[in-house]
Amino acid sequence: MRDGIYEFIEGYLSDMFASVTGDIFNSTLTESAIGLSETSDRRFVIILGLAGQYKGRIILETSSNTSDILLQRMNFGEPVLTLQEQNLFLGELGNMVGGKFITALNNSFRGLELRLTPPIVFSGENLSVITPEIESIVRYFSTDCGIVRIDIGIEGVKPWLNLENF
Amino acid sequence: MQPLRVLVIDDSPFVYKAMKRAVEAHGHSVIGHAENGQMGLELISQLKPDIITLDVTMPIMDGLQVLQRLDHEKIDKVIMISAMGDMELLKQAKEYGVRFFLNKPFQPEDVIHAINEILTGER
Repeated sequence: MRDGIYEFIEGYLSDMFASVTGDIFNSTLTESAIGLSETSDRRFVIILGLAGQYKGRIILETSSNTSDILLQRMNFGEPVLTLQEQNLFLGELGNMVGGKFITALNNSFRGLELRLTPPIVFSGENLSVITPEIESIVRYFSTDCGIVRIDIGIEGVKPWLNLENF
Repeated sequence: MQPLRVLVIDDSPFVYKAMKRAVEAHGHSVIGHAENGQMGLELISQLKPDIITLDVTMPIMDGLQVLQRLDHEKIDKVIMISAMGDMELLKQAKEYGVRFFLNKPFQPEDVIHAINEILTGER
């Protein structure tokens, strides 16, 4: 086990997302230095709240093009046409990514008792989602569906927090 | 093996489709889909399924609340499903008598394995 939550998240994030993309999308994954295109006209954003001994949130973000490919893979090759169905599928994707994440944290740090709030999914042009006063760990992952941004922030969790006696 | 009748209680259309594909590929059938626990209880009573797949987190009534309202005979048919698989949740499900738990996302063979285990382990 790592020394602290921050280090744990940094070390685990890639494996966690890779296991979900591998199972659902049959897609390999690499961490990307390239972010989402600034010219992308439309984005999909999934937000899950974290509750329990710590509070925070997980944000997943993709371009509209990437989202279409992800949704089609999730829907066994068929396009997901209605916005309502798109939101339900993306919400479930968020649940699976978030579920893997907090399961790993809860099992590694006794007493955290983290829970996920139901996902919020929204889409729009030129979106910018920020959470003041929470330090985030942000990573971009390249899949063969496109690039996905993951942003995880937990209140009070900083690189220097010592949880040895938690 | 006789074809089995499976009820899916899950608010996710993705899980419903994945479950349907998995069980139908092995000759079984999905006889109903409930998007929350309350509807699930009604369908359990009406349809009398051989296997019940039950999500934990759902609107109106969650999976653990459904378990509170089921007798042991029906809980024996339950495969619990959740995106979360932490020890506390597994412990709670086990205390209700659930024997099989699948983490989302799951593979079709995981579902079939759990179904076969339920059949061979019938009390």
